[in-house]
Amino acid sequence: MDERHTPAIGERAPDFAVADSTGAIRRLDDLIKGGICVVVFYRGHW
Amino acid sequence: MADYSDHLEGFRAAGAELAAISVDDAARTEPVRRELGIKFPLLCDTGRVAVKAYGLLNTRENGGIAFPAAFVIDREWLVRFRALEEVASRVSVEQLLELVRELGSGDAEPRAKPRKHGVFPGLMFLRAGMNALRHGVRVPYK
Repeated sequence: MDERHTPAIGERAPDFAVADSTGAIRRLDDLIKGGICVVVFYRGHW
Repeated sequence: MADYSDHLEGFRAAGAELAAISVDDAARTEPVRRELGIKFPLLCDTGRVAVKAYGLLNTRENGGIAFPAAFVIDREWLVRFRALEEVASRVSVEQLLELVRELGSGDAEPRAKPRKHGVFPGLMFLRAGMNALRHGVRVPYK
């Protein structure tokens, strides 16, 4: 893990545009429109 | 992910949206999403774009997967909480939900109704400080 690139508390979160499992593009910009977004990174299903 | 799914309504009631990211493709992820009945987006970062942007690419496993982590991001794009499982114990969904509720009470819904702001900013800084100690923030707070 490269913590130099991992946003710390108080820092700006990097935007992303990634397709979800249904094919819809999801941007952080859209996800935080409701107010708060909890972004979870997980290892995967294997 | 089932844990998060169980608490989805709580997060949404607190004004928060959930999104989960792995490097698995849609063919692998969508059946799991359906099986578990997950109603928040599971992002398929096969290009490792988001994983790299957040400094979470674990190149030692399976051609590069995500280190487990969780971030709470507010409407100003600021990280209000982070849990990095490589350097700290796993954060529980209940802990995250509690934090989101506090944030929601403080500033997530400024249009809804005026609230007393006296207590919450103080709690935020206290919590941020505690997390800095716990998780070792290396970049100075600006």
